[in-house]
Order: sequence, then C-alpha cells, then structure tokens
Amino acid sequence: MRTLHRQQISERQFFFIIFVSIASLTFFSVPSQLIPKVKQDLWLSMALGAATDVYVACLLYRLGLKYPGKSIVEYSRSILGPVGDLFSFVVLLFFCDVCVTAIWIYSDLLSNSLLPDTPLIAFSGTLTLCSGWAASKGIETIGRLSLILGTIILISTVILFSTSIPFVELRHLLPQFEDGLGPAVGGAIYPASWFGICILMGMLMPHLAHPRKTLKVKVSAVLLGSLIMTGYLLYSIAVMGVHMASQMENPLYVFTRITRLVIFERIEVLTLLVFVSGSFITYATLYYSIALGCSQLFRTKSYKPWVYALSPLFVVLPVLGVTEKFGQWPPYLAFWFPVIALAIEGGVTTLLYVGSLFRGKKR
Amino acid sequence: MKAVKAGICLLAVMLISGCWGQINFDQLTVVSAIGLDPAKNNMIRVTLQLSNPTLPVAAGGGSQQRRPFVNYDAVGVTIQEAVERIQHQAKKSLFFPQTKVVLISEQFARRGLDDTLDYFWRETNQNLNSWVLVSRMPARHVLDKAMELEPVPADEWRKYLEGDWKRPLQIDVQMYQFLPRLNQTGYQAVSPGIGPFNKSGKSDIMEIGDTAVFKNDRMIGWLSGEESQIVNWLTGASRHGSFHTDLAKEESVSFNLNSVRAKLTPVLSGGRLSMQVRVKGEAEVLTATVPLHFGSEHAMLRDVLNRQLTTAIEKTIDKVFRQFGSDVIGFGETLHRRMPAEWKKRKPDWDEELRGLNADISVSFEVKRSGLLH
Repeated sequence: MRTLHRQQISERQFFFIIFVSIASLTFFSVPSQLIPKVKQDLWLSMALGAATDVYVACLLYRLGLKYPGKSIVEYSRSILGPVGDLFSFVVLLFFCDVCVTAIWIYSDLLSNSLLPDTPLIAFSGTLTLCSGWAASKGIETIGRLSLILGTIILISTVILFSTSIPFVELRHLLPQFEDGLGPAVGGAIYPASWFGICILMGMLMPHLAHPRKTLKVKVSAVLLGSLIMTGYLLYSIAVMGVHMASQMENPLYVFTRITRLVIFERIEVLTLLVFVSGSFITYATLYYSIALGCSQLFRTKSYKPWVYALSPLFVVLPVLGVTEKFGQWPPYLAFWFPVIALAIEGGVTTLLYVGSLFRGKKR
Repeated sequence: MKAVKAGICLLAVMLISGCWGQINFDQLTVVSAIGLDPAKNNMIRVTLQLSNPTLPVAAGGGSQQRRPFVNYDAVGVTIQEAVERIQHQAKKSLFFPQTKVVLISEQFARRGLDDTLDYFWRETNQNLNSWVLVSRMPARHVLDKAMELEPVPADEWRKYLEGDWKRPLQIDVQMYQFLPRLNQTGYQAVSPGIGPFNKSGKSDIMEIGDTAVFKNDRMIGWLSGEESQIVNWLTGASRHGSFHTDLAKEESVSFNLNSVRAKLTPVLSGGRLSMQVRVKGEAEVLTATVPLHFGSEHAMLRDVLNRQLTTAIEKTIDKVFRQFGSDVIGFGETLHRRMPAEWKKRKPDWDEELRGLNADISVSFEVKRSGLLH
C-alpha cells in the first residue's frame, strides 16, 4: 500500500489545489443559496465558513501528524477498527455525492448560460474524461496543473476587481445586519459545507513533502480562497444591488456579464473559462482522492482501476432525470446537502480525533 | 491500453470541431436596438434594428450599396413570441449580446412594464448593459425615421449616453439599473427620453432629453432637463451642472457648477419623518448679461445662486414626491440604509408617506471664479 503514497507534492502545489477548489466550488455552488438568504451580510457567513474549515483542518493536521504517511481512510481503521472502515466508506460516499452534485450544478450553469444546445452529458463527459485522466496520472500532475490555473485565477481576479471599481456602488452593501446576526450565522452552513470539501486534505497530507507545514499552508489557502470569493459575492451585490443579485441563478456570472475587463465587455465567457479550469482541478483532486480511498479501503493493489470504474458514475449520474429532479428539489441544496456535509466534514473528523485521543491513552 | 488512449484522442478531435448549436458568422445578425410598443388586445409590438455590416474597402466592400441597418417588427403576446416571428422574417440567427439600446414607447411605458420586461431578466443572451430610452413617439417610428451621423442610429445613441461629455441635464440608465427599480419601493425607475427634434420629411433628427419618471412599473410623467439635473445630484449620479440665475428683469448670469455633493438625511422628530437635503459645491461664472464687479458683488452672486437653487430643488422634490408620488431620488433606500427598523414600519405605506414628507433644503455653493479680472 505504501507504493500508493510515492508521489509527492510541494507546499505551493497543495496551497493552489486547496485555493482553486475553494474558488471554483464557491463560484458554482454557493451564490444561489447564500445571497438570497443572507444578502449584504454574507461576508460574515463566509468568515464563519472559513473558520469552520480551519477547525476541521486543525483536527486533520493533528491526526495526520499522529499517523504519519497515512491517509484518513488508513488511520480511521487504525483508530476505530472496522467501525473506522465504515466511517471511511461514508466519507468516500460523501465525496462521490459532492462530485455528482457539483458536476450537475456545473453542467446546469453552462447549459443555461453559455451552451444551451449542448446536451448535459457532454459537460459531465468531458469533465470526467479530463479530470479522470489527470487523476490516473496522479497527484503530482494535478499539483503542477493547479500551479498554473491557480495563478490564472488570482491574476484575472485582481484585474477584474480593479477594472470593475467604476461599476461599484458601495451603498448597495448597506444596511448591515438588518435582521440581526441570525441570517448570517445560519447562512454560514453554505460556505462551510462547500469549503469543508477540503477534508480531502486528509487524503493529500501523506503526499506532502513537509507534512508539518500542512496546517499553515491549508489555512492560508482557505483564507485567500474565501477572501477572494467573498470579494466576488460582494462585488456582485455592489454592482447589481441586492434586489437583482438575490433573484439571479448565479449572480457572480451575471456580474461578469455587466462589468468590463479593462476595455473588454461581455467577459462572462472568459470568467467561465477560468472557473471551469478551476473545476477541473477540483474534480481531478476529488476523483483521485475517491479512487485512492477506495483502493485503500478495499485493499486493492492500485487506485487506477477505481478511476476507470468510477467514471460511468460521474458521467451518467449528474445528468439523469432523477438526479436533476433531486438537485432542483429546493430542500436538497438549501438544507440536506449542507447538513449532511457538515455532519461528515465536522462530525466524522471530530469523532476520529476524539477516538485517536482515547487510542493514545489506551496505548 | 495505447489503442484506448489513441481512441480517446480521436474522440477529442471530434469535440474540438465546435460545440452543439454552432452558428456560422454569415447566419448571424447583430441586434442593435430593440423597440417596444403596445399592440391591440394587450399584445406587444417588438421592433428589432438589425445591423447590416458592410465589408471594409480592402475586402472589396467599397462599392457596396447596402443599407447599414434593417428594421423588422412583429406582434406577440410576449416579447419572446414576437422575437421568434421576427426570426422567421430575418431568416438569420439573432445575436442579442451586443444590443445597444432598448426603446420603450411612452404609450407602452404608461401601460405598465413589469409583466413584460421579465424577458430581459431571464434571457441570458440579453445585454444587461444596453441603454434604456423612453420614446415620445412609437418606438418603431423612432427606429425607422432616426437620422444620425453614425450609419446605425443605435450606435450614435449609445456613444452619446456613454460619453462623459454629455450634458449634465441628462439622466442615463442601463438595463441592469432600470429593471430592479421597476419593483423596488424605495428607489424608483427613471429613463431618459428620446423624440424628434426636427422633422424633415422622411427622416427625423432625434433629441435625447428630459426624463421619464416611473412609479413602480408604470410611467407617470416627465421631468425637464433642469429637474433631471437636480435628480442626478440628489442620487449622486452627477457632480457637475449648469444653472441660470435671474438677477433682475432681463439680467441673468449663467454658472458652471462643479464638485456638487448632495446629502440626504432622514430626520425623525416626534414620530414624524422629514428629509434633510444638504447640497454644496463650487460655481464659476460662465456668462453674464450685465457687467459684473466680482470683488464687490461676490456675496450677492453667491446668495442669489443659492437662493434660486434652493427654490429649484424644492420644486423638483415637490414635483416627484407630491405630483408623481414616485421616489426617484431614492430617499426610501436612504432611510432603509440609515434606519432599517423605521423603514420596515413605513415601507408598506411609503407612497402616502412620500406625499406628506417635509424637506428641509440647504444649498451652499461658493462662487470661485468669474472668468475675468473685472
């Protein structure tokens, strides 16, 4: 099994994997839930979401140091025995759910906004093909790609934010906390649940060249990612006003339809291109983590067969009529997904950490 | 394995040939302007101004005798239905993302817009940056008869509305600013007007001026250029302007106004809401019909300017609040930002509140330059 951990990534590559994942997942999944419910106060929800993720990162960091060279799937077994395997199975199943949900949201947005005549399966198929290919090449390949795409996201964001200043009306961001702190605190479940996908840190930590630096790098990436995406969300409200932003399916996309990049108008295609590339890194990392986790859970020699075996799932499931109906069922994204996600991201890691403390005492 | 990889590569080549629904350039036509008029039986007449690009001279387009634009119109229950009918007439794919102007006829605007303009919210190909204009005559006639320096009239209007050099008496609004204000209680919609300035037979020179005022989704009246300028100051849309003061009979001085800053403050006293308006800025004399001694008459000039500006602002506020009952200044939104709890209480009866609102206006302009030594 140790051969599976041979590939290594640098801290910078890990930083960009986490940063790109946070940015692309937030771009596609968070705005439609967060802006209508929390409006101008969403910065607090984003901050609380980031804080929740930092808490989970601390637990995973301590576990990773306690069980060096082992992934979350491997040390779950060491801590809880067969029950740990059940926990790992739940985590991997959750990763699959995230992949299917996120691919569905991604395909739906592209189909509604940019390529209305293209069948959904073309989006899920191409994304799965590309990310699956990267996953089969291993985490080093994904890490190198994330360096390039993460830098592109950062640079394009800085230019976009600077050139959008003439469109901004800061008064749209007032009043703050009109209905008290409640909506912002309650709304934190949306960013927290999507940021929490970064528990795949538990799968990546054994690949890091210097595991002791993991926490610092992870926290920096989460803070930068959430800061930039809070910027996007606030910009979309400041440009359109909260009334319009809260009615749009993806206000971030509409913001890029209105604003300009230096002298270029209608830059939504460019923005989508950047975040679609980011999604590719996110799915590739998730795909790799699921395949590696399955190989560790079911003790297979290589993770690659799992990459091929899982591909039909990610191509077909997001575009099935049943999935679409389920995705459009309002309580799913508004309630069930964040609750289940937080229960797994926060709950399972906390249980594992507490279990590891007892395990340590027992020794 | 290699064969599988080679197969996947070959499949990828098929993907790069183009996406589903690709449209060749010669099958595409750019919609420059959209005109909306009322039609019989509560239907809508949509007019589309389609650009007809001419080839550059180097590409053999020098001797082309093509009309720079063509207007098509059709009637439908919804805008979408009418657009589909036009598509059959034009026999091309209509490209909306570069639409410059949306013209709404006064008659249609007075009928109410909210249940028709949702098309611009929902249709992702629509240009939310297109400029909104209310036409005094049917939009179809404006599009048919407009004569401008640019070959396509919509291009000329867009450049004018975008330009910083345009008169401060002009309000401008883009679709993304206009749409939400149609159903926003505390900040209602306005739009510049367009109409024939000089009728000259077949074609007319169009003038963009005055401002159409909306109450919710329905147009209720017009503001003059001077009133539009005051609304621009009060909403923070403009910091410049010009103003003509009358010193005595047939004696007037024109000022250029700069750095204009207006502050609206809601004041609550004994449960009664009032609006405090503070406007300040700098003025310079542009022209005078009488000899001016700037040194000795400086204070008199400043006082006259401030007094007459106060009266003009009072009249404008009175017109929009009491005559139109429309909050185009956005005082409701100011109250919402400053006193959210108070806004919640007053929002349901805001129209009534607006009509009885007292405005305490204070204007303080400093006359900085006379333009001449004496």
